[in-house]
Amino acid sequence: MEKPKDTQPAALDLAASLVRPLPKAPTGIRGFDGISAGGLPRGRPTLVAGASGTGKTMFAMEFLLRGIRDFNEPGVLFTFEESSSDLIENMASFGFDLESLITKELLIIDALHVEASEIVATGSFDLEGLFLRLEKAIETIGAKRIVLDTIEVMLASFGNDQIVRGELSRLFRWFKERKLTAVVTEERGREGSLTRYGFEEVISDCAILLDHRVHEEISTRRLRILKYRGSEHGTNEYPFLITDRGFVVLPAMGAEAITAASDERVSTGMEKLDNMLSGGIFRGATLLISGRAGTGKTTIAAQLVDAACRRGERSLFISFEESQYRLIRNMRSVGINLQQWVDAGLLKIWAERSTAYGLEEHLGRLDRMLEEFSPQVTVLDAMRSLAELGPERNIRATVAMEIDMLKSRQITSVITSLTHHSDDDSSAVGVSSLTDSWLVLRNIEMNGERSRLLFVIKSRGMPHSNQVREFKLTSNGAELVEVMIDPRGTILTGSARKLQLDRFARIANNRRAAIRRNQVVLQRRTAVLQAEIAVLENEMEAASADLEKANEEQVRRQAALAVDQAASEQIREV
Amino acid sequence: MHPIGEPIHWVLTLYVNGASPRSSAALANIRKICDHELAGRVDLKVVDIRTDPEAAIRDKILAIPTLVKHQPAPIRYLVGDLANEARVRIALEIISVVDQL
Repeated sequence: MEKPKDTQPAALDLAASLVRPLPKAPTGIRGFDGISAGGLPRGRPTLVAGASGTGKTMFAMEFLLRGIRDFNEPGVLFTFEESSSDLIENMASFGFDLESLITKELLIIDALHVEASEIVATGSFDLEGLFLRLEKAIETIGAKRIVLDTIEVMLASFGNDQIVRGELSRLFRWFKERKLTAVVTEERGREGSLTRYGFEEVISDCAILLDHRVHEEISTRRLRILKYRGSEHGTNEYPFLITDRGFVVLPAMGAEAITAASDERVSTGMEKLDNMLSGGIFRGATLLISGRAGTGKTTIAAQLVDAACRRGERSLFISFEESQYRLIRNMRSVGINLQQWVDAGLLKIWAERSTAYGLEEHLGRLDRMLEEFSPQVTVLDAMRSLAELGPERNIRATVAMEIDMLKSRQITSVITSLTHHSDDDSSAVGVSSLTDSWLVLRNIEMNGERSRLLFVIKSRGMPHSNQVREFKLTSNGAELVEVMIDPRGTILTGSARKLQLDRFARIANNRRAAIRRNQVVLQRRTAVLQAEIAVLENEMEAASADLEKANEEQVRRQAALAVDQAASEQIREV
Repeated sequence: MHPIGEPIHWVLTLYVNGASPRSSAALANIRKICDHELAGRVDLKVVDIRTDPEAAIRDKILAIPTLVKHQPAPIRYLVGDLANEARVRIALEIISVVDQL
């Protein structure tokens, strides 16, 4: 939420201390209480609007039933659409036993099917009958929550819009007076307006819009909080799912679960790759591996899973391409034994044809799997297979949802992406911005053989090598080796690499021989020069000895001369 | 709807809220019809939700006033103070002798 800037801070502080936080009624709907900072406004009406089939009833029912079950708040449902028995049956499939709640007097379901054709509007009226009914139901079980689903079915049949507006306002005021946390669902008005009477969102304290788009057979559901009086709330459109366990708003985080980015590194199971990533990938990060068929994407993913299981972490391997049997067999051929981890209960392989389910069901199943198995590492192999479910742009949306689901649970994940042309990483580019690290695998063909190369394209938040590595599949799994680059700048791999290595070895041998030869020459030369130095030193010593001798003779003669001079002067004075 | 030649009988229930203006108007309007066209061929029951709220709940009456036509079939709920006489007559299937000719 935006905060006002540059206004008197003291006044703001005072205001903030006076405004008590708005009491909220948690819905228990996964993900919703997170984006609404705690649930719906307690003791106030909330409008849930959306077209037919968008999940309004599901939202309202979960709010009501979880309220009873998880928050001990008895609830009343007035339904104008479904029969009570249909509803009991529907909700049973989501794991709610309505009949027992009714027996325990925690729930009242009042199904008021209104047959519009049986109603004739003849003049002015009020909804006193409805109020009586509501009053009685609420008093009977001491209800704290109430749902009216869907209200315009009933209202429209009475004809007189002006009276309906007045009665609707009265109803919403009535909820507030009785401190009922109410959810009123309404089908979206025609002509693009949110509601039929155009003011229901105004008299509600909170308004939620549900949207369900089906495009090329892919269904995408979105939830948006349009308004929330007195509370901050997320303003985005949040994708949501209706799974076999009910309504899930993504990212499915609780209000408290604002996940901090981890500094912990997770090994990829390949020491040299870890080195390229300066220690591995961050826990909870998403690694994208893209490349053409047969470049070894699955192997690198399996290696990472193997390393995780070795550390005792639970891993989920979702394979859209291979059956569990084939995946295990193929990985065994490169020395990765996944079977042992399956047996140990550390690894779960979920192999499914992506086309077997719709996108929504796929996400629902993923959510369920994450919830039940709670893996620390998850592999999605391969993202591209989701393309079978619909057009390209939906893959991005789906992968975004998957990443959200994984990230919110701090699961370290690997997503592989199959690209079709060696320079076409475009499909990967679409989702790469959602991932933290991105490895690209390339096959290169030279001298009639194929080699694998690995590039680290990006790795968010960590220094990483920009170099390319050759990557080999050995019987001990994948291994990275430094690549050779010949003087023309060509990357050499495979046997070309071996030839080059041999060439280098020969060159090195030659050089070593040359060095040895040079060393002998040097030694000899040193000996000669040292001999010469000795001779010269002798000469110098001899020469200096001669000179010193000559000097001493001169000094002696000078002294003798001085003595003679003194003697002759003495003779003259006498 | 009903066999030709058999006399038609009306069974009606009017739900009112005490002597509120709308309820009073509705009662006056239906009385007028009952006393003229339907004289001798109608059972009109008046339920006051102030004195008998259970009846409205049991009969699932939401709007007040509401006139329910139980007979002749099909059932109809006439919502409002019955001010629109033309609609009331159509809904109650009161066809005048003049119309039949």
